[in-house]
Amino acid sequence: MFIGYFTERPYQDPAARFFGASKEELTDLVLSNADYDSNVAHDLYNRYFDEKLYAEQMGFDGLMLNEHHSTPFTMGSVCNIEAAILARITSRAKIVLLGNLLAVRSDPVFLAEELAMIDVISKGRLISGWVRGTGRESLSHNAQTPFNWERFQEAHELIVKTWTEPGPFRWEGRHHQLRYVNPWAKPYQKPHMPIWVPGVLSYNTLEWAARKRYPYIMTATDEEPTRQCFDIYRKIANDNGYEAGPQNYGYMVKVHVDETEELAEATAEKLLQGPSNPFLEGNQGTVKPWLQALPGLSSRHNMLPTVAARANLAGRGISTTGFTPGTYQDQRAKRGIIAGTPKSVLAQLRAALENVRPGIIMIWDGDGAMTHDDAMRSLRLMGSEVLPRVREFAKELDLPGPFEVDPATGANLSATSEPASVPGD
Amino acid sequence: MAAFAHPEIAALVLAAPAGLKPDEGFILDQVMEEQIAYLRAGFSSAESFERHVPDPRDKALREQLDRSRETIARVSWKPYMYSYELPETLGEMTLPATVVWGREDRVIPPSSAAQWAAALPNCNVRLIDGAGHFLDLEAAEELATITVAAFEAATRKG
Repeated sequence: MFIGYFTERPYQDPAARFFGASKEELTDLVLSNADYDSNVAHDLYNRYFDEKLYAEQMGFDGLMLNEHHSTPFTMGSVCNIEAAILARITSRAKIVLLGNLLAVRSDPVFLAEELAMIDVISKGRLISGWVRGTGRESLSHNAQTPFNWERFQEAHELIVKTWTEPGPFRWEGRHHQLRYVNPWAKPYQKPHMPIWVPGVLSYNTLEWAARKRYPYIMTATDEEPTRQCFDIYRKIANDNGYEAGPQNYGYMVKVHVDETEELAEATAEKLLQGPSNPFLEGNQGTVKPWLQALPGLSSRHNMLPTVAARANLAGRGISTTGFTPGTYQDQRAKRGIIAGTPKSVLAQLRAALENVRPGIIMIWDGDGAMTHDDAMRSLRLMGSEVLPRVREFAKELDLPGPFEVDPATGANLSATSEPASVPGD
Repeated sequence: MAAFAHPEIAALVLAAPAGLKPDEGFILDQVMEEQIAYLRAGFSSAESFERHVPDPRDKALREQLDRSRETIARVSWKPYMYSYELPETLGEMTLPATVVWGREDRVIPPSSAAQWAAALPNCNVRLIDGAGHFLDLEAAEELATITVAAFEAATRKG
Protein backbone atom coordinates (compact mmCIF):
# COMPACT_ATOMS: atom_id res chain seq x y z
CA MET A 1 0.00 0.00 0.00
CA PHE A 2 1.25 3.44 -0.96
CA ILE A 3 -0.24 6.19 1.21
CA GLY A 4 -0.07 9.78 0.02
CA TYR A 5 -1.12 13.13 1.45
CA PHE A 6 -2.87 15.81 -0.55
CA THR A 7 -4.39 19.22 -0.21
CA GLU A 8 -5.30 21.68 -2.95
CA ARG A 9 -3.42 24.40 -1.03
CA PRO A 10 -6.34 26.82 -1.05
CA TYR A 11 -5.81 30.55 -0.94
CA GLN A 12 -7.43 31.23 2.41
CA ASP A 13 -8.11 34.85 3.08
CA PRO A 14 -10.79 35.33 5.71
CA ALA A 15 -10.95 38.97 4.70
CA ALA A 16 -11.89 38.04 1.15
CA ARG A 17 -15.53 38.09 0.22
CA PHE A 18 -15.27 34.65 -1.40
CA PHE A 19 -13.91 32.85 1.64
CA GLY A 20 -16.10 30.02 2.86
CA ALA A 21 -17.45 31.56 6.00
CA SER A 22 -19.08 34.28 3.94
CA LYS A 23 -21.30 31.68 2.28
CA GLU A 24 -21.15 33.84 -0.81
CA GLU A 25 -21.57 31.83 -3.94
CA LEU A 26 -18.61 32.21 -6.21
CA THR A 27 -18.45 31.44 -9.89
CA ASP A 28 -15.11 30.17 -11.07
CA LEU A 29 -13.27 32.27 -13.66
CA VAL A 30 -14.87 35.46 -12.46
CA LEU A 31 -12.57 36.50 -9.62
CA SER A 32 -9.90 39.06 -10.37
CA ASN A 33 -6.39 38.56 -9.06
CA ALA A 34 -6.72 42.09 -7.75
CA ASP A 35 -7.92 40.26 -4.63
CA TYR A 36 -4.54 38.52 -4.29
CA ASP A 37 -2.62 39.52 -1.16
CA SER A 38 0.98 38.41 -1.42
CA ASN A 39 1.43 38.54 2.36
CA VAL A 40 -1.42 36.09 2.82
CA ALA A 41 0.01 33.93 0.05
CA HIS A 42 3.49 33.99 1.59
CA ASP A 43 2.18 32.63 4.87
CA LEU A 44 0.05 30.02 3.15
CA TYR A 45 2.75 28.66 0.86
CA ASN A 46 5.04 28.20 3.83
CA ARG A 47 2.26 26.75 5.96
CA TYR A 48 1.61 24.11 3.32
CA PHE A 49 5.30 23.26 3.11
CA ASP A 50 5.35 22.86 6.90
CA GLU A 51 2.41 20.50 6.66
CA LYS A 52 4.08 18.49 3.90
CA LEU A 53 7.23 18.19 6.00
CA TYR A 54 5.17 17.00 8.95
CA ALA A 55 3.27 14.54 6.74
CA GLU A 56 6.61 13.02 5.78
CA GLN A 57 7.56 12.78 9.46
CA MET A 58 4.26 11.13 10.22
CA GLY A 59 5.02 8.35 7.76
CA PHE A 60 3.22 9.22 4.55
CA ASP A 61 4.84 7.58 1.54
CA GLY A 62 4.02 10.39 -0.83
CA LEU A 63 3.34 14.11 -0.87
CA MET A 64 0.98 14.88 -3.68
CA LEU A 65 0.76 18.14 -5.59
CA ASN A 66 -1.58 19.20 -8.36
CA GLU A 67 -2.03 22.27 -10.48
CA HIS A 68 -4.99 24.44 -11.40
CA HIS A 69 -4.74 27.88 -12.88
CA SER A 70 -6.32 31.32 -12.42
CA THR A 71 -8.18 30.24 -9.31
CA PRO A 72 -7.83 30.67 -5.55
CA PHE A 73 -8.75 27.10 -4.70
CA THR A 74 -5.32 25.81 -5.72
CA MET A 75 -2.27 27.96 -5.02
CA GLY A 76 0.10 25.52 -6.70
CA SER A 77 -0.49 26.59 -10.26
CA VAL A 78 3.18 25.98 -10.97
CA CYS A 79 3.42 22.88 -8.84
CA ASN A 80 6.86 22.00 -10.18
CA ILE A 81 8.22 24.89 -8.14
CA GLU A 82 6.67 23.38 -5.03
CA ALA A 83 8.00 19.97 -6.04
CA ALA A 84 11.50 21.38 -6.46
CA ILE A 85 11.37 22.87 -2.97
CA LEU A 86 10.09 19.60 -1.52
CA ALA A 87 12.91 17.81 -3.30
CA ARG A 88 15.35 19.85 -1.22
CA ILE A 89 13.57 20.02 2.14
CA THR A 90 12.25 16.46 2.41
CA SER A 91 14.35 13.35 2.52
CA ARG A 92 12.26 10.22 2.21
CA ALA A 93 8.75 10.71 0.84
CA LYS A 94 7.97 10.47 -2.84
CA ILE A 95 6.92 13.70 -4.50
CA VAL A 96 3.82 12.88 -6.47
CA LEU A 97 2.66 15.22 -9.23
CA LEU A 98 -0.91 14.55 -10.27
CA GLY A 99 -0.28 16.12 -12.41
CA ASN A 100 1.32 18.29 -15.03
CA LEU A 101 -0.81 19.67 -17.85
CA LEU A 102 0.77 18.04 -20.87
CA ALA A 103 -1.55 19.53 -23.45
CA VAL A 104 -1.20 23.05 -22.12
CA ARG A 105 2.58 23.25 -22.15
CA SER A 106 3.81 24.83 -25.34
CA ASP A 107 7.23 23.16 -25.03
CA PRO A 108 7.18 19.66 -23.52
CA VAL A 109 10.98 19.53 -23.47
CA PHE A 110 10.99 22.34 -20.94
CA LEU A 111 8.72 20.19 -18.77
CA ALA A 112 10.95 17.14 -19.29
CA GLU A 113 13.91 19.18 -18.06
CA GLU A 114 12.10 20.52 -15.00
CA LEU A 115 10.98 17.07 -13.95
CA ALA A 116 14.38 15.54 -14.54
CA MET A 117 15.96 18.21 -12.35
CA ILE A 118 13.44 17.59 -9.57
CA ASP A 119 14.08 13.86 -9.80
CA VAL A 120 17.83 14.36 -9.60
CA ILE A 121 17.68 16.88 -6.74
CA SER A 122 15.39 14.53 -4.78
CA LYS A 123 17.60 11.54 -5.62
CA GLY A 124 14.89 9.69 -7.48
CA ARG A 125 11.81 10.50 -5.41
CA LEU A 126 9.65 12.04 -8.12
CA ILE A 127 6.51 10.38 -9.44
CA SER A 128 5.28 12.11 -12.57
CA GLY A 129 1.65 12.35 -13.51
CA TRP A 130 -0.15 13.74 -16.48
CA VAL A 131 -3.49 15.48 -16.75
CA ARG A 132 -5.45 17.07 -19.54
CA GLY A 133 -6.86 19.89 -17.44
CA THR A 134 -10.22 21.58 -17.55
CA GLY A 135 -11.25 24.61 -19.56
CA ARG A 136 -9.80 26.85 -16.88
CA GLU A 137 -6.32 25.53 -17.58
CA SER A 138 -6.59 25.74 -21.36
CA LEU A 139 -7.87 29.30 -21.14
CA SER A 140 -5.21 30.39 -18.69
CA HIS A 141 -2.44 29.50 -21.11
CA ASN A 142 -4.44 29.65 -24.33
CA ALA A 143 -3.96 26.02 -25.34
CA GLN A 144 -6.14 25.10 -28.29
CA THR A 145 -8.76 22.79 -26.83
CA PRO A 146 -9.81 20.73 -29.86
CA PHE A 147 -6.28 19.35 -29.97
CA ASN A 148 -5.95 18.76 -26.23
CA TRP A 149 -5.97 14.97 -26.48
CA GLU A 150 -3.60 14.88 -29.45
CA ARG A 151 -1.23 17.30 -27.74
CA PHE A 152 -1.39 15.28 -24.53
CA GLN A 153 -0.35 12.09 -26.27
CA GLU A 154 2.35 13.66 -28.41
CA ALA A 155 3.86 15.54 -25.48
CA HIS A 156 3.99 12.30 -23.52
CA GLU A 157 5.85 10.49 -26.31
CA LEU A 158 8.27 13.39 -26.69
CA ILE A 159 8.97 13.63 -22.96
CA VAL A 160 9.55 9.91 -22.53
CA LYS A 161 11.90 9.92 -25.52
CA THR A 162 13.70 12.96 -24.10
CA TRP A 163 14.16 11.12 -20.80
CA THR A 164 15.22 7.79 -22.23
CA GLU A 165 17.07 8.24 -25.52
CA PRO A 166 20.45 9.87 -26.01
CA GLY A 167 20.29 13.28 -27.61
CA PRO A 168 20.48 15.23 -29.64
CA PHE A 169 17.53 14.27 -31.75
CA ARG A 170 15.06 16.10 -33.90
CA TRP A 171 11.31 15.98 -33.30
CA GLU A 172 8.85 16.65 -36.10
CA GLY A 173 5.42 16.00 -34.66
CA ARG A 174 1.94 17.20 -35.47
CA HIS A 175 1.92 19.73 -32.65
CA HIS A 176 5.56 20.05 -31.62
CA GLN A 177 8.58 20.57 -33.80
CA LEU A 178 12.02 20.85 -32.25
CA ARG A 179 15.31 21.05 -34.05
CA TYR A 180 17.55 20.11 -31.17
CA VAL A 181 16.41 17.99 -28.24
CA ASN A 182 19.31 17.41 -25.92
CA PRO A 183 18.59 18.70 -22.40
CA TRP A 184 21.51 18.10 -20.10
CA ALA A 185 19.34 17.05 -17.16
CA LYS A 186 18.15 13.45 -17.29
CA PRO A 187 16.06 11.60 -14.69
CA TYR A 188 17.75 10.04 -11.68
CA GLN A 189 15.46 7.02 -11.94
CA LYS A 190 16.02 4.64 -14.83
CA PRO A 191 14.65 4.32 -17.38
CA HIS A 192 12.67 7.24 -15.99
CA MET A 193 10.44 8.15 -13.05
CA PRO A 194 7.18 6.29 -12.55
CA ILE A 195 4.21 7.81 -14.34
CA TRP A 196 0.77 7.80 -12.74
CA VAL A 197 -2.37 9.17 -14.28
CA PRO A 198 -5.20 10.74 -12.30
CA GLY A 199 -8.69 10.78 -13.69
CA VAL A 200 -12.35 11.29 -12.98
CA LEU A 201 -14.55 11.04 -16.04
CA SER A 202 -12.69 10.41 -19.28
CA TYR A 203 -12.79 6.86 -20.61
CA ASN A 204 -10.05 7.78 -23.10
CA THR A 205 -7.64 8.71 -20.33
CA LEU A 206 -8.34 5.56 -18.33
CA GLU A 207 -7.93 3.41 -21.42
CA TRP A 208 -4.68 5.16 -22.32
CA ALA A 209 -3.31 4.66 -18.80
CA ALA A 210 -4.28 0.98 -18.83
CA ARG A 211 -2.65 0.42 -22.21
CA LYS A 212 0.52 2.10 -20.97
CA ARG A 213 0.34 0.11 -17.71
CA TYR A 214 0.41 3.32 -15.70
CA PRO A 215 -1.36 3.33 -12.33
CA TYR A 216 -4.65 5.19 -12.57
CA ILE A 217 -5.67 7.36 -9.61
CA MET A 218 -9.32 8.23 -9.22
CA THR A 219 -9.62 11.53 -7.46
CA ALA A 220 -12.44 11.83 -4.94
CA THR A 221 -14.94 9.72 -6.82
CA ASP A 222 -17.66 7.66 -5.18
CA GLU A 223 -16.70 4.15 -4.15
CA GLU A 224 -18.98 2.14 -6.38
CA PRO A 225 -18.22 3.85 -9.71
CA THR A 226 -14.54 3.86 -8.74
CA ARG A 227 -14.67 0.11 -8.35
CA GLN A 228 -16.41 -0.15 -11.71
CA CYS A 229 -13.70 1.98 -13.32
CA PHE A 230 -11.03 -0.33 -11.94
CA ASP A 231 -12.93 -3.23 -13.47
CA ILE A 232 -12.76 -1.45 -16.83
CA TYR A 233 -9.01 -0.93 -16.34
CA ARG A 234 -8.63 -4.63 -15.46
CA LYS A 235 -10.42 -5.69 -18.63
CA ILE A 236 -8.30 -3.38 -20.80
CA ALA A 237 -5.19 -4.79 -19.11
CA ASN A 238 -6.34 -8.33 -19.89
CA ASP A 239 -6.96 -7.34 -23.50
CA ASN A 240 -3.43 -5.98 -23.61
CA GLY A 241 -1.74 -9.03 -22.21
CA TYR A 242 -1.19 -8.32 -18.56
CA GLU A 243 -2.89 -8.73 -15.20
CA ALA A 244 -3.76 -5.53 -13.36
CA GLY A 245 -4.08 -5.48 -9.61
CA PRO A 246 -4.27 -3.07 -6.67
CA GLN A 247 -0.81 -1.80 -7.63
CA ASN A 248 -2.45 -0.27 -10.71
CA TYR A 249 -5.28 1.46 -8.84
CA GLY A 250 -5.26 4.62 -6.79
CA TYR A 251 -8.08 6.16 -4.81
CA MET A 252 -8.21 9.63 -3.32
CA VAL A 253 -10.60 10.22 -0.46
CA LYS A 254 -11.17 13.06 1.97
CA VAL A 255 -10.17 12.02 5.49
CA HIS A 256 -9.96 14.02 8.67
CA VAL A 257 -8.91 12.58 12.03
CA ASP A 258 -9.35 14.45 15.26
CA GLU A 259 -9.32 14.13 18.99
CA THR A 260 -13.06 13.71 19.48
CA GLU A 261 -15.90 12.78 17.19
CA GLU A 262 -17.44 16.20 17.66
CA LEU A 263 -14.25 18.06 16.80
CA ALA A 264 -13.67 15.79 13.82
CA GLU A 265 -17.11 16.49 12.39
CA ALA A 266 -16.92 20.22 12.97
CA THR A 267 -13.48 20.38 11.37
CA ALA A 268 -14.22 18.06 8.46
CA GLU A 269 -17.14 20.24 7.51
CA LYS A 270 -14.61 22.98 6.79
CA LEU A 271 -13.47 20.92 3.81
CA LEU A 272 -16.52 22.19 2.00
CA GLN A 273 -15.84 25.81 2.84
CA GLY A 274 -12.98 28.01 1.74
CA PRO A 275 -12.42 29.50 -1.69
CA SER A 276 -15.10 27.70 -3.60
CA ASN A 277 -13.57 24.64 -5.14
CA PRO A 278 -16.07 23.42 -7.72
CA PHE A 279 -14.64 19.92 -7.52
CA LEU A 280 -15.75 19.63 -3.92
CA GLU A 281 -19.34 18.45 -3.82
CA GLY A 282 -21.28 20.78 -1.55
CA ASN A 283 -18.77 23.59 -1.83
CA GLN A 284 -20.13 27.01 -2.69
CA GLY A 285 -18.27 27.17 -5.97
CA THR A 286 -19.93 27.04 -9.34
CA VAL A 287 -18.47 27.25 -12.81
CA LYS A 288 -19.30 28.76 -16.14
CA PRO A 289 -20.02 25.50 -17.92
CA TRP A 290 -19.19 26.78 -21.39
CA LEU A 291 -15.71 27.72 -20.19
CA GLN A 292 -14.97 24.56 -18.23
CA ALA A 293 -16.13 22.40 -21.11
CA LEU A 294 -14.45 24.29 -23.92
CA PRO A 295 -15.14 23.07 -27.44
CA GLY A 296 -13.43 19.83 -28.25
CA LEU A 297 -11.68 19.60 -24.89
CA SER A 298 -12.99 16.17 -24.10
CA SER A 299 -15.64 13.76 -25.22
CA ARG A 300 -19.07 14.33 -23.74
CA HIS A 301 -20.13 10.83 -24.58
CA ASN A 302 -17.22 8.50 -23.85
CA MET A 303 -17.34 8.81 -20.08
CA LEU A 304 -16.76 6.57 -17.10
CA PRO A 305 -19.38 5.33 -14.59
CA THR A 306 -18.41 8.29 -12.38
CA VAL A 307 -20.63 10.37 -14.64
CA ALA A 308 -23.43 9.82 -12.10
CA ALA A 309 -21.85 12.26 -9.61
CA ARG A 310 -22.83 15.89 -9.75
CA ALA A 311 -19.48 17.40 -8.74
CA ASN A 312 -17.70 15.40 -11.43
CA LEU A 313 -19.98 16.94 -14.02
CA ALA A 314 -20.17 20.42 -12.55
CA GLY A 315 -16.41 20.75 -12.18
CA ARG A 316 -16.07 20.08 -15.88
CA GLY A 317 -18.88 22.22 -17.12
CA ILE A 318 -21.19 19.38 -18.07
CA SER A 319 -24.90 19.81 -17.49
CA THR A 320 -26.05 18.86 -13.98
CA THR A 321 -29.73 19.00 -14.80
CA GLY A 322 -31.50 16.53 -12.54
CA PHE A 323 -28.77 16.56 -9.88
CA THR A 324 -28.96 18.38 -6.58
CA PRO A 325 -25.78 19.57 -4.87
CA GLY A 326 -24.56 17.08 -2.28
CA THR A 327 -24.32 18.05 1.34
CA TYR A 328 -21.68 17.31 3.93
CA GLN A 329 -24.00 14.71 5.42
CA ASP A 330 -24.46 13.05 2.01
CA GLN A 331 -20.74 12.70 1.64
CA ARG A 332 -20.28 11.41 5.14
CA ALA A 333 -22.97 8.80 4.50
CA LYS A 334 -21.28 7.50 1.36
CA ARG A 335 -17.73 7.79 2.77
CA GLY A 336 -16.81 10.57 0.36
CA ILE A 337 -15.65 12.27 3.54
CA ILE A 338 -14.28 10.06 6.29
CA ALA A 339 -14.02 11.78 9.65
CA GLY A 340 -13.76 10.91 13.29
CA THR A 341 -11.38 9.73 15.94
CA PRO A 342 -8.66 7.30 14.85
CA LYS A 343 -10.85 4.38 15.86
CA SER A 344 -13.87 5.38 13.82
CA VAL A 345 -11.78 6.58 10.88
CA LEU A 346 -10.02 3.23 10.76
CA ALA A 347 -13.34 1.41 10.61
CA GLN A 348 -14.50 3.60 7.73
CA LEU A 349 -11.18 3.33 5.90
CA ARG A 350 -11.20 -0.42 6.29
CA ALA A 351 -14.63 -0.60 4.68
CA ALA A 352 -13.53 1.68 1.83
CA LEU A 353 -10.40 -0.39 1.20
CA GLU A 354 -12.41 -3.60 1.17
CA ASN A 355 -14.83 -2.14 -1.35
CA VAL A 356 -12.51 -0.23 -3.69
CA ARG A 357 -9.31 -2.32 -3.28
CA PRO A 358 -6.68 0.25 -4.28
CA GLY A 359 -2.95 -0.19 -3.82
CA ILE A 360 -2.52 3.59 -3.68
CA ILE A 361 -4.56 5.74 -1.35
CA MET A 362 -4.35 9.52 -1.33
CA ILE A 363 -5.58 11.15 1.84
CA TRP A 364 -7.13 14.55 1.06
CA ASP A 365 -7.14 16.73 4.17
CA GLY A 366 -6.22 20.21 5.40
CA ASP A 367 -8.30 21.83 2.67
CA GLY A 368 -11.18 24.28 2.36
CA ALA A 369 -11.33 26.48 5.42
CA MET A 370 -9.23 24.21 7.64
CA THR A 371 -6.55 25.93 9.68
CA HIS A 372 -2.95 24.90 10.11
CA ASP A 373 -3.81 23.56 13.55
CA ASP A 374 -6.65 21.51 12.11
CA ALA A 375 -4.33 19.98 9.55
CA MET A 376 -1.52 19.29 12.04
CA ARG A 377 -3.83 17.62 14.59
CA SER A 378 -5.06 15.27 11.92
CA LEU A 379 -1.58 14.56 10.60
CA ARG A 380 -0.33 13.74 14.10
CA LEU A 381 -3.12 11.28 14.73
CA MET A 382 -2.72 9.75 11.31
CA GLY A 383 0.95 9.19 11.96
CA SER A 384 0.56 7.75 15.42
CA GLU A 385 -2.63 5.73 15.07
CA VAL A 386 -4.05 5.53 11.57
CA LEU A 387 -1.30 4.88 9.03
CA PRO A 388 0.32 1.92 10.84
CA ARG A 389 -3.02 0.20 11.06
CA VAL A 390 -3.91 0.99 7.43
CA ARG A 391 -0.70 -0.74 6.39
CA GLU A 392 -1.82 -3.78 8.34
CA PHE A 393 -5.19 -3.65 6.60
CA ALA A 394 -3.43 -3.54 3.25
CA LYS A 395 -1.48 -6.68 4.12
CA GLU A 396 -4.60 -8.45 5.38
CA LEU A 397 -6.54 -7.44 2.26
CA ASP A 398 -3.63 -8.08 -0.13
CA LEU A 399 -3.44 -4.52 -1.46
CA PRO A 400 0.14 -4.06 -2.64
CA GLY A 401 1.27 -0.67 -3.88
CA PRO A 402 3.28 -0.01 -7.04
CA PHE A 403 6.55 -0.17 -5.12
CA GLU A 404 5.70 -3.65 -3.87
CA VAL A 405 4.31 -5.13 -7.07
CA ASP A 406 5.35 -3.77 -10.44
CA PRO A 407 2.23 -2.37 -12.13
CA ALA A 408 3.69 -3.09 -15.55
CA THR A 409 4.69 -6.70 -15.02
CA GLY A 410 3.06 -7.91 -11.80
CA ALA A 411 6.51 -8.88 -10.48
CA ASN A 412 7.09 -8.67 -6.75
CA LEU A 413 9.50 -5.93 -5.76
CA SER A 414 11.54 -5.98 -2.60
CA ALA A 415 10.80 -3.25 -0.09
CA THR A 416 14.13 -1.60 -0.74
CA SER A 417 14.18 -1.99 -4.49
CA GLU A 418 14.27 0.82 -6.98
CA PRO A 419 10.94 2.20 -8.17
CA ALA A 420 8.84 0.04 -10.46
CA SER A 421 9.71 -0.16 -14.11
CA VAL A 422 7.71 1.92 -16.52
CA PRO A 423 7.71 0.47 -20.02
CA GLY A 424 4.98 2.78 -21.24
CA ASP A 425 3.83 0.64 -24.11
CA MET B 1 -8.65 33.67 -53.13
CA ALA B 2 -9.89 36.91 -54.62
CA ALA B 3 -6.38 38.33 -54.53
CA PHE B 4 -4.82 35.40 -56.33
CA ALA B 5 -7.61 34.31 -58.70
CA HIS B 6 -9.22 37.56 -59.74
CA PRO B 7 -9.78 36.60 -63.42
CA GLU B 8 -12.50 34.31 -62.13
CA ILE B 9 -14.05 36.88 -59.81
CA ALA B 10 -15.80 40.07 -60.91
CA ALA B 11 -16.14 41.85 -57.62
CA LEU B 12 -15.98 41.29 -53.93
CA VAL B 13 -18.70 42.04 -51.41
CA LEU B 14 -17.69 41.48 -47.81
CA ALA B 15 -20.36 41.47 -45.08
CA ALA B 16 -18.84 42.43 -41.72
CA PRO B 17 -15.74 40.33 -42.40
CA ALA B 18 -13.31 39.01 -39.83
CA GLY B 19 -9.65 38.94 -40.75
CA LEU B 20 -8.14 42.24 -39.59
CA LYS B 21 -7.24 43.06 -36.03
CA PRO B 22 -9.52 45.93 -35.02
CA ASP B 23 -7.77 49.19 -34.26
CA GLU B 24 -10.41 49.81 -31.64
CA GLY B 25 -11.82 47.13 -29.34
CA PHE B 26 -11.79 43.40 -29.94
CA ILE B 27 -13.64 40.85 -31.98
CA LEU B 28 -16.18 39.26 -29.64
CA ASP B 29 -14.70 35.90 -28.59
CA GLN B 30 -17.03 33.02 -29.31
CA VAL B 31 -14.83 30.78 -27.15
CA MET B 32 -15.41 32.92 -24.07
CA GLU B 33 -19.10 33.59 -24.57
CA GLU B 34 -21.97 31.37 -23.60
CA GLN B 35 -23.49 30.11 -26.85
CA ILE B 36 -26.79 31.96 -26.69
CA ALA B 37 -25.15 35.12 -25.37
CA TYR B 38 -22.89 35.07 -28.41
CA LEU B 39 -25.81 34.52 -30.73
CA ARG B 40 -27.71 37.36 -29.09
CA ALA B 41 -24.75 39.68 -29.56
CA GLY B 42 -24.93 39.09 -33.28
CA PHE B 43 -28.24 40.95 -33.52
CA SER B 44 -28.80 44.66 -33.23
CA SER B 45 -31.35 44.39 -30.41
CA ALA B 46 -33.10 42.00 -28.04
CA GLU B 47 -36.27 42.33 -30.13
CA SER B 48 -34.45 41.39 -33.29
CA PHE B 49 -32.87 38.39 -31.57
CA GLU B 50 -36.25 37.18 -30.34
CA ARG B 51 -37.76 37.64 -33.78
CA HIS B 52 -35.05 35.62 -35.52
CA VAL B 53 -34.44 33.08 -32.76
CA PRO B 54 -37.84 32.30 -31.25
CA ASP B 55 -36.61 29.26 -29.32
CA PRO B 56 -33.03 29.63 -28.05
CA ARG B 57 -33.36 26.35 -26.12
CA ASP B 58 -33.98 24.39 -29.32
CA LYS B 59 -31.77 21.30 -29.18
CA ALA B 60 -30.84 21.37 -32.87
CA LEU B 61 -29.83 25.02 -32.57
CA ARG B 62 -27.71 24.26 -29.51
CA GLU B 63 -25.93 21.46 -31.31
CA GLN B 64 -25.33 23.70 -34.31
CA LEU B 65 -23.84 26.36 -32.04
CA ASP B 66 -21.64 23.75 -30.37
CA ARG B 67 -20.31 22.63 -33.74
CA SER B 68 -19.79 26.22 -34.83
CA ARG B 69 -17.87 26.99 -31.65
CA GLU B 70 -15.67 23.93 -32.02
CA THR B 71 -14.90 24.84 -35.63
CA ILE B 72 -13.91 28.33 -34.56
CA ALA B 73 -11.69 26.82 -31.86
CA ARG B 74 -10.02 24.62 -34.46
CA VAL B 75 -9.39 27.17 -37.19
CA SER B 76 -9.06 30.47 -35.37
CA TRP B 77 -7.98 29.84 -31.80
CA LYS B 78 -5.19 32.40 -31.96
CA PRO B 79 -4.89 35.01 -33.13
CA TYR B 80 -8.62 35.13 -32.83
CA MET B 81 -10.26 35.84 -36.18
CA TYR B 82 -7.53 37.95 -37.70
CA SER B 83 -4.25 37.61 -39.52
CA TYR B 84 -1.25 39.87 -39.39
CA GLU B 85 -0.44 38.87 -42.97
CA LEU B 86 -3.83 39.64 -44.49
CA PRO B 87 -3.37 43.42 -44.98
CA GLU B 88 -0.43 42.78 -47.30
CA THR B 89 -2.45 40.30 -49.34
CA LEU B 90 -5.40 42.67 -49.51
CA GLY B 91 -3.09 45.39 -50.79
CA GLU B 92 -2.38 43.32 -53.90
CA MET B 93 -6.03 43.06 -54.83
CA THR B 94 -7.27 45.27 -57.65
CA LEU B 95 -10.85 43.96 -57.81
CA PRO B 96 -13.64 46.34 -56.91
CA ALA B 97 -14.66 45.59 -53.34
CA THR B 98 -17.57 46.65 -51.20
CA VAL B 99 -17.44 46.27 -47.46
CA VAL B 100 -20.85 46.23 -45.80
CA TRP B 101 -21.27 46.70 -42.07
CA GLY B 102 -24.12 47.04 -39.62
CA ARG B 103 -23.79 50.14 -37.48
CA GLU B 104 -24.97 48.12 -34.47
CA ASP B 105 -22.47 45.28 -34.91
CA ARG B 106 -21.38 44.06 -31.46
CA VAL B 107 -19.28 41.15 -32.74
CA ILE B 108 -16.76 43.01 -34.88
CA PRO B 109 -16.47 46.76 -34.30
CA PRO B 110 -18.03 48.71 -37.22
CA SER B 111 -14.96 50.95 -37.14
CA SER B 112 -13.14 48.02 -38.75
CA ALA B 113 -14.84 48.93 -42.03
CA ALA B 114 -12.44 51.84 -42.40
CA GLN B 115 -9.48 49.49 -41.94
CA TRP B 116 -10.73 47.30 -44.77
CA ALA B 117 -11.23 50.33 -46.96
CA ALA B 118 -7.66 51.39 -46.24
CA ALA B 119 -6.27 47.93 -46.94
CA LEU B 120 -8.16 47.30 -50.18
CA PRO B 121 -7.01 49.58 -53.02
CA ASN B 122 -10.41 49.68 -54.73
CA CYS B 123 -12.99 49.58 -51.96
CA ASN B 124 -16.08 51.40 -50.88
CA VAL B 125 -17.91 51.04 -47.60
CA ARG B 126 -21.65 50.75 -46.99
CA LEU B 127 -22.92 51.06 -43.43
CA ILE B 128 -26.44 49.88 -42.68
CA ASP B 129 -28.42 51.57 -39.93
CA GLY B 130 -30.14 49.42 -37.36
CA ALA B 131 -28.31 46.21 -38.31
CA GLY B 132 -25.96 44.07 -36.21
CA HIS B 133 -23.42 41.47 -37.23
CA PHE B 134 -25.81 39.03 -38.87
CA LEU B 135 -26.50 41.16 -41.91
CA ASP B 136 -27.83 38.23 -43.88
CA LEU B 137 -30.64 37.88 -41.32
CA GLU B 138 -31.30 41.44 -40.23
CA ALA B 139 -30.64 43.31 -43.46
CA ALA B 140 -31.07 40.67 -46.10
CA GLU B 141 -32.70 42.95 -48.68
CA GLU B 142 -30.17 45.75 -48.30
CA LEU B 143 -27.31 43.28 -48.50
CA ALA B 144 -28.76 41.67 -51.62
CA THR B 145 -29.32 45.06 -53.26
CA ILE B 146 -25.77 46.17 -52.51
CA THR B 147 -24.38 42.88 -53.78
CA VAL B 148 -26.32 42.96 -57.04
CA ALA B 149 -25.39 46.58 -57.62
CA ALA B 150 -21.71 45.88 -56.96
CA PHE B 151 -21.62 43.02 -59.45
CA GLU B 152 -23.59 44.92 -62.08
CA ALA B 153 -21.18 47.82 -61.78
CA ALA B 154 -18.18 45.54 -62.03
CA THR B 155 -19.64 43.71 -65.03
CA ARG B 156 -20.42 46.98 -66.83
CA LYS B 157 -16.88 48.19 -66.34
CA GLY B 158 -15.51 44.80 -67.39
